[in-house]
Amino acid sequence: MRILIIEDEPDFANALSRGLKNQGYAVDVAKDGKEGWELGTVNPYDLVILDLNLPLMDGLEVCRLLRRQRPDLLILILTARDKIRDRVIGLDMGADDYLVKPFHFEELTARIRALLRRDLRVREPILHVGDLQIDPAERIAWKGKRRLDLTAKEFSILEYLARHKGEIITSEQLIEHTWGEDEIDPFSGSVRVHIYSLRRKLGNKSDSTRYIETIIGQGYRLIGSETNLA
Amino acid sequence: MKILQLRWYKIRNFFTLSRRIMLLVAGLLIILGFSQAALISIVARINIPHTIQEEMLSPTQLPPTDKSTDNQIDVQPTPLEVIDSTEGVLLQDIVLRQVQSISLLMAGVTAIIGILGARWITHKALSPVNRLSQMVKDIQVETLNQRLPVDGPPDQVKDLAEAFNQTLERLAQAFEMQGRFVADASHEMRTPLATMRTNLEVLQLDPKATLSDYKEMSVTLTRTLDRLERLSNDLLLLARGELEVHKVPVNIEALLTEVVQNLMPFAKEYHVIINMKVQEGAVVLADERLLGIAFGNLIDNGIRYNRSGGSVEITVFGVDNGLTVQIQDTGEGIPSEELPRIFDRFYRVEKSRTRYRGGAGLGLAICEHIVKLHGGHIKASSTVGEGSIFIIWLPSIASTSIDPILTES
Repeated sequence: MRILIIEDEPDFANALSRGLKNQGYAVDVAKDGKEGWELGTVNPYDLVILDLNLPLMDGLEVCRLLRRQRPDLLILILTARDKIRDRVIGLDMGADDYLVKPFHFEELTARIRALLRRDLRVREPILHVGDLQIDPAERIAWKGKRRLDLTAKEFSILEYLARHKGEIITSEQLIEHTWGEDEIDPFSGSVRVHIYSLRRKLGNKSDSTRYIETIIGQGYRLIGSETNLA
Repeated sequence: MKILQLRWYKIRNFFTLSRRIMLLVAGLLIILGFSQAALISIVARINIPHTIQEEMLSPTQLPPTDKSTDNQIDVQPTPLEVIDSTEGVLLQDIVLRQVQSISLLMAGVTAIIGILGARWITHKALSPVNRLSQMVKDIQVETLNQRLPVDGPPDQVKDLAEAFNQTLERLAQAFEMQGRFVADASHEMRTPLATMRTNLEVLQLDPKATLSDYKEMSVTLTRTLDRLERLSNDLLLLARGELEVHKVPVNIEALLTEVVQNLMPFAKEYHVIINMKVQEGAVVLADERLLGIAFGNLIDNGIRYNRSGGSVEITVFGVDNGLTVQIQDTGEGIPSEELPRIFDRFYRVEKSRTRYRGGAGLGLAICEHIVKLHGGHIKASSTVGEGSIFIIWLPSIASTSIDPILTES
């Protein structure tokens, strides 16, 4: 899941970005409204965390423009403006959620998880694919009763595939949604490496079950064991 | 002495407006009643004897006219008068006493009716005032927007209601301004607080956080705390009233030199030159610390929003009834549409926000507040691309009141 933070206060944005990266999200930071709008237009973010008091372009304007361009984009307004009127305007401008500063970081991440499962077909807090269980809140995955030991990137890939189970996801999509702008080497080769390692940890070699299917020339697909195609 | 005073208070407190009106009206009616009674008895005393004599003579005269001759009439009056006068005096006394007691009774009745009537009139006359005061009592801070009805005839009560409504209007405005200020202030506090909390919580939740991460955070937290401290100091400055200003004669040149010296490292960092031209011996009555803050804010702005290699020109000259301090920079200037708002609290010129993020938009508001506390005024003019000029005018002090202190120092 890839998140854009639009925030003009660098000390705040840096801490937020670090915290979200620790949670396994790919995070970019824009330091003013204009940069936020530009980045939001160029990259396919899953969620935008938006401050309202921004230089160069007002946060509400950014919200309106992004919403018009990307109807599926999740927008969370994170601001010091706490009046009911501001909240109403923000939500009416197309924001999906509104959180007032200062806040507890855990509440923010819980809200982000709630938003991310909102418009996907999977609405339970824990994702189930076959005998796989993926918990985005704790960032833990199980296969049956066995807990999988995954790296942050592997988990992100698995989570993204699980959220779109049955769909073909291209390497580009995986990069766009699980790699940040500042992360090095976002090439498809690196996706292949992570998928390989993920498959190994899911136990594909010994099992006849194939969780992550490769559709040659198109991408990857996560399927449950009950829909075993092998 | 104290007992006397207490008694006086008791007496004064007894004579409320309604009681005063009541006593006045009742007193007037009692006096009228009794003077009427007195008048009646006086008039009766003068007139009744005549009337009785006339009335008593006529019936005694009548029989003789019927039966006796004309000469009898000439003889008779003397004995008849004697007899009749004693009877007449008796009658006079009875009638007079009757009249007096009736008029006294009436005066008493008038007095009683007068007191009751006065009570009623007072109550009636003061009832609009009572109604008004009840309505005023019902107005709370939360319901300051309520207004008293002013639909009555144009009388004193209406005047009172209107005057009160105007006061309410001013109060509501003051409260609204105060409320907005508090809201803005708390809004400004939220951002640094959020920065601190997020930094702390993110590190606390990170099991892999290292000592250097914590050291890095401590730098961030110190920076944010500085900002909070600056903000709270600024807010305190803005809340300062006239009573907290301690004015002494201040030599402007010395004060400006000190302020400029403090800002010199900052000016060097921005590659800005500061030039100063001060009329000699310029002195104002001022709170030195506050005035220094005002000048400091203006010169700081002049440096911060200047171009590299630019300059800040400080000129001080006396005008007929005061002193003018002019601070001119060669920065990018303020767009004319933003110029009227630059002294507003928490207002930030759009362009300044990308250059200096730490500010809360209070610097110029503080300048204006301080200058106003000194009985002066400040104005700004600006040309985009050329720079801005801030002009402070401060009233000069009467030379007589300051000379001795000056010579002392």
